[in-house]
Amino acid sequence: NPYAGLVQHLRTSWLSRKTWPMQYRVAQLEALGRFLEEEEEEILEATTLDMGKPHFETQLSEIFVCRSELNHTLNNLSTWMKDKHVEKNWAMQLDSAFIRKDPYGVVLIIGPWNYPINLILVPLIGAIAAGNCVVVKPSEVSKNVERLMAEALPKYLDKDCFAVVTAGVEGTTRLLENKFDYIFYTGSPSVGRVVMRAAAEHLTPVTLELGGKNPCYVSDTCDVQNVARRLAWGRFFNAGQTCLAPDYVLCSLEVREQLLPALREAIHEFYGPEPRESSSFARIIGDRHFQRVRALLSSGRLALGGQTEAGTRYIAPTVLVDVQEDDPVMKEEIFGPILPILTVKSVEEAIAFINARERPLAIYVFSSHKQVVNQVLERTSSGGFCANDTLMHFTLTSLPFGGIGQSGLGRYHGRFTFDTFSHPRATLLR
Amino acid sequence: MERMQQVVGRARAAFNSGRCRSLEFRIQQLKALERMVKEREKEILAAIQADLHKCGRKTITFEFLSVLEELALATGRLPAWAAPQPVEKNLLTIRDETYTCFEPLGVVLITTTWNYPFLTIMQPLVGAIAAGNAVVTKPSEISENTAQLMAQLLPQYIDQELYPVVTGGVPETTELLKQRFDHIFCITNTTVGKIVMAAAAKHLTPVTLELGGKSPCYIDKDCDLAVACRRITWGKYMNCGQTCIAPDYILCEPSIQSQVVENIKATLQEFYGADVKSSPDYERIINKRHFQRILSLLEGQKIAHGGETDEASCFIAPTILTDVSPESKVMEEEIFGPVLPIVTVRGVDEAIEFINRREKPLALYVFSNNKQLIKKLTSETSSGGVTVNDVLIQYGVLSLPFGGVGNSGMGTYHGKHSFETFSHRRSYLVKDLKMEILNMWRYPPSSQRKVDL
Repeated sequence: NPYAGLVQHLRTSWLSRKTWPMQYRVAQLEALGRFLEEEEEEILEATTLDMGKPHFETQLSEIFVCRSELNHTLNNLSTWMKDKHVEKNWAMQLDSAFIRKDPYGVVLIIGPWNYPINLILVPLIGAIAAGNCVVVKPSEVSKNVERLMAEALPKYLDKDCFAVVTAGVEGTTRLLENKFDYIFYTGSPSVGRVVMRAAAEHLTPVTLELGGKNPCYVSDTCDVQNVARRLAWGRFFNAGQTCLAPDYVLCSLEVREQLLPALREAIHEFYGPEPRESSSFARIIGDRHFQRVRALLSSGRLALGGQTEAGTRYIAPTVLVDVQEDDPVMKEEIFGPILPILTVKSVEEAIAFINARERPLAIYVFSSHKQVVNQVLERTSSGGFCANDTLMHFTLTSLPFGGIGQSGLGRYHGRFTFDTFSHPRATLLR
Repeated sequence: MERMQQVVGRARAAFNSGRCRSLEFRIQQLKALERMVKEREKEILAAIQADLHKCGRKTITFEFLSVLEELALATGRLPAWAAPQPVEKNLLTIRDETYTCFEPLGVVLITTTWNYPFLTIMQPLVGAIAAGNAVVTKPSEISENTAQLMAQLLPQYIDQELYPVVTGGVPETTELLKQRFDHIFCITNTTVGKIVMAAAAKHLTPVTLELGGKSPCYIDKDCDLAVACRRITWGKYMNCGQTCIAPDYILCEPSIQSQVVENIKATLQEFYGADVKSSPDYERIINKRHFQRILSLLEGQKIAHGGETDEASCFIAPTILTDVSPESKVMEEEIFGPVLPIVTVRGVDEAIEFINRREKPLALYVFSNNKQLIKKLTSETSSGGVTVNDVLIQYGVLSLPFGGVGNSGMGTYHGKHSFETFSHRRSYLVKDLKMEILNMWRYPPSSQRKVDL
């Protein structure tokens, strides 16, 4: 077991209770803050090298989000760490009954490649805040960020309590043979199953942030240009490689006819006449994914975009129409800059379509009518729900972020990350 | 077995019909359960007695009272629990509606255990129904009278399709675990817990596992020993030791070991009289298999009190073992019987080290008047829960989350915690389509001005 020594080392540190005092946790969190500040250029460079991420996108979705979570955590940590007193029955009025938030111990965070900084650091912030020792396993697919984390993080964080492991599939499988006290995984449902199966061996609780196809219903009555802008932004950000992106659109034929020119307009506004030349549009992470996404272009009929260039792994912002349920583009999470539009006759049909499929990470609705929003909201189930915009519920730290069913289990962000990595220990003192 | 597939399929269709979404429906079902508990008390009592040879009214009253309290809490508070909860907004969302809402998960599986066969079915069931789910209940086949009775009674009071009861043993449970559920709640032991979680992993089903372990009980020199021992005796020998949060073993300094024994002996006399076997308040071991298992734990041990057994009636007398070696068999597995080992330690530091070398227990008990010692022991160890200067009663405080950590389990329930366990906390952000100008900063093409913003 190649990682047994490392895990043992962290466990020894854990038993020494080094990570328990608040001052220690604050010091480590502040060090993470310095990492974000001092390594900003390196982060921008690494994410550009990995997937052509425009600097602005990295600033927003990686650095800003992490700083926001860090500040929120530092400002609230002392409150979160306090014992929470609970309601007592009459027989216990003289006693003390409360919930204490205990750290779990040695926890493992496995990150994905699409937002490789954010999706490691935000859980890491919560894990540290909750007083745990942490093993971080960044994705080997975003290899420049992986290298950056492996080299730089140990310079900022206490090496006795925090470690970065670089490993591929084989190595990660070996890593999962060790006993951890919590495992936090972000990635695909199929690997999620493998992680949970491995966790079951040690009865390790898990949080799995997975994915799926996030539907977006656009109703008959709304300000189409604003819809198109918000929709295009959510879909084409990071060249579509966002677990939360609107994966496909459901709308009537009439709405589609209005939406298409509006989308063309929005894409033009964002990326200019030739998105390939825009510095604001990312690329696909690697050749395998490029080929996978490119193959989806043959579904339905091309309405906008469709150009590709293998050398730079460029796929243009694309809209497909006349897509059928059993087309390849509707069989898997797209995770690329393709937006299929399927036509439905009514909101009821849209709801039925959504409910016939696996529950997604997010459901989006665009409508200027509250009743339409409420109808979809009340009759569907999803990790989260956002009306009249895309992605934005991710940025509010007070909203728990997580999936349901195949899109995941558990939730985090803000206080919820702290709670995820804490064991709520019921305490009764007589 | 197609039967399992059909049962679960029907429950899912019933859930998808949407009828258990409304709070009125759920409250109506919970009130029906309340009627069931009150109207059929005698039959339920008889079933539990038959399963566990329980004659003591006290124990059963506690089960009934807990269930009624859960039902009252759920029916009374459900509207508040299920109401949307607004969350704090940031500058970007200041004009929007931002809230979370607890929503049903779908079809939930509850598999329970035999030691408190009625309570352990009803408590999670109340939470799962309150949360708006369809629920498949699989009572333990070992407490078969209660299992059969529940299979008869529940359909008479609550929706048969939404809340089916499945009876059977290992083959039925195995088949059930192949089906897809939206949450699995299981009260069992560590070994089976791993199997359940592995099965759940295939469908990415979240689990709550209420397992067990050896709950240590540290008795400090500085405490009212008579009171401590009375409480420990009550908690240890209730239900013949077959309680997941019973104090499993005692840790104390050698100097007080014999006093502890004397105090417990005196309390046993008080509770059960000179002839325990004929006391109507003393139960029996559930079956021969467990009887044999517990008997084997006594081998080679120094029996300070008790030790009498009678296989025919699965009787094991309240037993105390002294100077127990940490490596002995009785210290390896959860005892789940009326055998109380005392392991001597030199002080609280050694006790902490002892506890931390072993798997994390479901409960940790400390008896002491010394606040520093209590603080040290509780903060330097980990356990599902902690109770100081008493045992078991944490179970009855429904506002406290009940659950284990590490090998003793994952997830919590009781009261509102059950409701939350069986719910999905969905996040909502509702914006309007106007004021697009407020979004312009985030759209490409990027510029330094936007970055600085």
